[in-house]
Amino acid sequence: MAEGPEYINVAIEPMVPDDGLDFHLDTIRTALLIRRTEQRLLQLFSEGKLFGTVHTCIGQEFVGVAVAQALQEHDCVFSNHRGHGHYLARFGDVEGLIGEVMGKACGVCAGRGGSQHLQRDTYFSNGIQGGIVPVTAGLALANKCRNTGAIAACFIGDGTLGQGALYETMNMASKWDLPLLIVCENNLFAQSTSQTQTLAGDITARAEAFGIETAHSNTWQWTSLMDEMAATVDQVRSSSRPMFHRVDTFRLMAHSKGDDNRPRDYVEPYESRDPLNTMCEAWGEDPRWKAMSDEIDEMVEAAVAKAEASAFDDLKLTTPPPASTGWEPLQFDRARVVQSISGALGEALENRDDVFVLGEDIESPYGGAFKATMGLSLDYPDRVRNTPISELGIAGIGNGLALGGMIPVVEFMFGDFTMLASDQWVNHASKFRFMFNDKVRMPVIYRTPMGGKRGYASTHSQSLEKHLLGLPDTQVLCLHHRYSPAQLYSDLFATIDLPTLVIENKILYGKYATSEPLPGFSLLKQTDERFPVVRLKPEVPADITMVVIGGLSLDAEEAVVRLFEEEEVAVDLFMPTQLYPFDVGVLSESLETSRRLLVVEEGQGFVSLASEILAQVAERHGQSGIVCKRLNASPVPIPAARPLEEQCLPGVDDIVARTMEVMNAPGQ
Amino acid sequence: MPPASDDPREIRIPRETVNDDVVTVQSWAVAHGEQVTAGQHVVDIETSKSVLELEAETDGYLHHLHPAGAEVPVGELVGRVEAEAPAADAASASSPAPVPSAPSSGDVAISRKAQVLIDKHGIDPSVFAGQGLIRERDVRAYMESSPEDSSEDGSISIEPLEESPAPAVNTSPVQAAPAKPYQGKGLFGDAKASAGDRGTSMVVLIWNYFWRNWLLGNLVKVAPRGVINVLHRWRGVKMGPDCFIDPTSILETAYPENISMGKDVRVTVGCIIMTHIKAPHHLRDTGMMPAVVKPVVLEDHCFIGVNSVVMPGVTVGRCSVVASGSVVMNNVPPYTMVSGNPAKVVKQFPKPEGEA
Repeated sequence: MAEGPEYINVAIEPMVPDDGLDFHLDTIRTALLIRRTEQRLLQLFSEGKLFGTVHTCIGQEFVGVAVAQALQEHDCVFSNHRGHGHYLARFGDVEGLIGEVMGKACGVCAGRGGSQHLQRDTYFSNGIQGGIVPVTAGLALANKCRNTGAIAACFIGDGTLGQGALYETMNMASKWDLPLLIVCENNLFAQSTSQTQTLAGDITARAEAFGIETAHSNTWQWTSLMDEMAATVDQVRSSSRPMFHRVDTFRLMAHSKGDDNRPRDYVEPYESRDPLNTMCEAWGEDPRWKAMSDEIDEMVEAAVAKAEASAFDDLKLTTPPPASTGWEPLQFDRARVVQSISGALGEALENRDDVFVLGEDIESPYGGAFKATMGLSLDYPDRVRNTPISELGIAGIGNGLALGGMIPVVEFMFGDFTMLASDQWVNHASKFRFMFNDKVRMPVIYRTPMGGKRGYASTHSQSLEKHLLGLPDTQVLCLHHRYSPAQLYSDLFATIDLPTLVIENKILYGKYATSEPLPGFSLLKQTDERFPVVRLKPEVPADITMVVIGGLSLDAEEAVVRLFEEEEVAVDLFMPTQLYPFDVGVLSESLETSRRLLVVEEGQGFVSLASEILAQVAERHGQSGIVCKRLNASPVPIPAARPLEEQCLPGVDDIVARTMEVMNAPGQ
Repeated sequence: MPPASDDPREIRIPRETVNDDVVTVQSWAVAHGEQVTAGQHVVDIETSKSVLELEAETDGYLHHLHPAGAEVPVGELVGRVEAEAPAADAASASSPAPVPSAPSSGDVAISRKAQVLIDKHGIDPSVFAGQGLIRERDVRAYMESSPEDSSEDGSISIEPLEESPAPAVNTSPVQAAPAKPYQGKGLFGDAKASAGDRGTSMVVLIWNYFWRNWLLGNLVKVAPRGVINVLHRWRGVKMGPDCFIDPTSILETAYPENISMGKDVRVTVGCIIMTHIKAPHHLRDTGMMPAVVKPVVLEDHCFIGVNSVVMPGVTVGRCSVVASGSVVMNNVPPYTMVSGNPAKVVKQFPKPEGEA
């Protein structure tokens, strides 16, 4: 087993305040409520009545109490996996907590979130350490934008000091003067690993390096902690600057139930000096203490009884309505894609003051690497912001802005960089609404250019959308040259209620989106769909159905023209604007005529959108012998030299050739 | 901004953003043919990022090479400043850009095979209006349903040479054979014209087939080097000075007079320069592969590499190179190397200064 760190702080005498129980009754009462509730939770765990595990903060209670008492009602709090104490300190809601940890409908999130994912009003928690820090900064930024006077507080542990998101956020919070309080509960252990093994340098010096003021307290001298935390909160509020408050403390119980490897004789000195234990010893016989203790026990027992009586909620799974199969003619004004995008963003910024655009290099005169935000920062300097190169941080700030009631638009300069931010998409944006029992909305928009054919080589040319598809409670949209980007964005801003990723293929930016007719074909869009599939339908029965993803629509249309001219093959071309969710029902009518399907996608084919479409078609039309193929990039990283890149990525010739393969394949 | 060019007379589109391979000529600030001075703003170019103002770099008269509204590739010339004003009739460039009219629902796409049939039989494509995609089988179905159209009689005389009244668009397909007047682009036209030129007398036949094609054509294979060019000229090949024709090459067997060569042209071992294609009777008769006779032009200093074939109708441009073993189906621009079957451009040679 790993040796614990040196005994630190054990020399500090625990406080038994001279001014007695009366003066601090509320504080002590809340701390004791947390202690008793968590002890009861551990008991429930042993009885097999909890799902998963339970992280207790026994020994650390005063941190949550100090922060909760210092904050005002409209301030925001973001807690972590060890958040019971923070929650109870703020709301005193034992029933909501115990019900939630027991997974019952009476829980504060109806059993969807559980111990690590509590939410009520402006209190949130998530079990992802570093990721919660930028989200809290986003809440702070939302407060600042709306002049609410509220601040946002985030609880981290000394274990969180290992995660980069914290540092990305501290940098931005300091640079942008965000009213953000970071409370670091330094309990010397990250799960089972001692700080001596993992922590280099000094804790507060980290924040100071970013020009953030720091404070340092401990839970043994808890009356000082109360005062110092109040002072910190006041300073964050009055200066509208971030602060980092380190609170030394000690977790007396395991990280989570049953995994404590620390020797008893290491933990014991802390246990005997624990302020609540000390006070209980000093005042245990005091009738006021007894009354308080009994009342708390009654409350906890009542909450347990209520939770046990409560039912489990039902997931109420609903089948999504089938894709619309109606079609109507599509017509829109011809415009350059990049200008259509910047026009739509400008219109959104103009029409609503809750839109906030952030990204790397997006301010004018540069206007973004692909110029999609050209001019916006000149007209809306407060709401169009250049960020440092911190993809994870800005994605998190976007998520926080959305939680704070704004509509953030986060630009990732290259789609390849979304992978740096994927934690925010996967573990935060897509989870909040559901985990928090539909009590929050997440109207966040991520925009990013994907795709190759510009010579940017392996790390700036990929089509990685397949890695971001398929998360429930998200939608992934894409642009192509046969649908107006301005229309897509204005519909998105008007109706956004889900985290949304918009893939803008970089080859498209300089091209025109146009509804100009193609002789022999009609340009149609799905009726009654917010983000419709666009269809280039031949005016004769189709020989083959083709689905093309994103900016490859340009090549696909050229191939469609050539296929008819040279091979007399009539292609029914489908160009979705929504990649997830995607229902192949929209193809059924066409497949019934053509009996042949080709899916063309620029990204890698293994476990891709193409494979999903083929799988859905197989499930739906399995017995009917439709000939299916897909066309994807060759399985190599994308090379820089154009002739090599052309060999790697699908182009017009490849689409023609693969189509003829499908045409020549024996049908059934 | 000054144009991206070393030649001060050129107004060239610079690469301005990573987005654009093609930009739009938004408007000309100075009209075609007007006088400009160095540093004067002459044209606005619309990129995906902004509008660029390009300036003249020298004094002179402005020549528009693309009209306003045109889409021009990055790196291309959009205008020139010349010492002299352009001729009046060349001013078409400054007329407004043709706005692509929205095609009506009657617009159709015609496959290549269908187009060949339509051209061959002079069918008015408007009879297919509203049918969407027109395939070869659609054209055949139309012809079968049009008894008055004699185009399927298999004879070569189907080419409607005489003027026929323009067909009404709404004519029912059964009623009319909407024949188009012969416009000289039919595949038989050249063959017939060529045959007609020669006349049909015995003397001419003997001259052509015995003396010129067979005797001289075979003689060049064994003649001493100095005599080869003389023999080819006797055969009718038009040839400039300093040409080299290898004795193993074949400069057309039937219509050598259709070959024109500039000066200093080299045709190397095993090359075949063809000015006619005559398919088997059946293919010709059914129209699958009509006879073709078209002139071939080999411009000054061009080089035909070993074992290459130049097909009828091809012009190989000045100073261009056909790499060994190529089959040249299309015209080769000047200062270009082509290779392969069919030959494709593989290299552009820099043009010497002052050459267009």
